[in-house]
Amino acid sequence: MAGDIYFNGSALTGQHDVKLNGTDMDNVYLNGTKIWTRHPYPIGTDIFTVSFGAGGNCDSFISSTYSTYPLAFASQPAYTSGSSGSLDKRCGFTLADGFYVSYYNQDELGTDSDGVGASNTGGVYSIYIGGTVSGLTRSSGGGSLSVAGSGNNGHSFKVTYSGQ
Amino acid sequence: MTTEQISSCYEGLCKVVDNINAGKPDNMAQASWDIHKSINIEWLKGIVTADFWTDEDLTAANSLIG
Repeated sequence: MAGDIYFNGSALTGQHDVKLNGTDMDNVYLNGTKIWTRHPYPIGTDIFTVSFGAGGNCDSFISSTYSTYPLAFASQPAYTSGSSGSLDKRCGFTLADGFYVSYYNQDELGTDSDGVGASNTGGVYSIYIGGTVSGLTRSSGGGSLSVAGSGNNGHSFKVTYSGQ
Repeated sequence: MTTEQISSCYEGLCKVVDNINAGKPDNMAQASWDIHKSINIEWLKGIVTADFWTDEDLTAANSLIG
C-alpha cells in the first residue's frame, strides 16, 4: 500500500506508537484494510552482531542467533556447503524485510564503507569459513558489500532494523 | 561515497588483487584456495562496475576477471 500516515505530524517509529484507550495496538485497519503494523523493534535498533573466526563454524549463528532473533530472518540459516566439522563451509541466510547488514568488517580486508544500507533491507547472504580465511557476501536483494567475501582470519557483521 | 570511503574500498580491492596474484599460501589446502579465489573473483566482477570510482587504476582487477 503506497503512502505514509503521520500522527500529529510524526512518523511512527516506535514499536507501539498506536494506542486505543491506553492499550497498545498491534495493527490498525481502515475500512478493512491493514494500514499499519507495529514495528517488532524501534527503528534504528541494532539487533545483533556476530563474529566468525577462520577455522570456526556457524553452529551458534544457525541455532542461537536465529532462535533469539527469529524476526530478523526470513528463514533459519543453514549450511549450504560443508558442515560444522568441514574445513570449508558456507552458511546461507536471508534477512527479513526491514533488517539489513549495517556493518561488516573482515580482519584483513577492512570495513564495508557503503554497506547495503537501510534502503536495501532483506537480501540473501552467505558466510564462508575456511581454515585460515572467512568472509561475508551478499548474493541477491540489491546493493553490495564494498569488502570482499574472503580474507585472512575472521570477520564480523551487525544487523540493524530500519523498519522499511 | 566520500573520498575516504572510496579510498578504503580501493585499498581493500588492491589487497584482494595482491592476495590472488600471490597464489595459494603454503598453509592453505587447494580446495580452500579454489573457494577463496572464486569468491573474491566474483566480488571483483561486481565491485569494478561500481559507479563511485573516479581515477583509480582497476587494470589489475580487470586482468584477473578477464
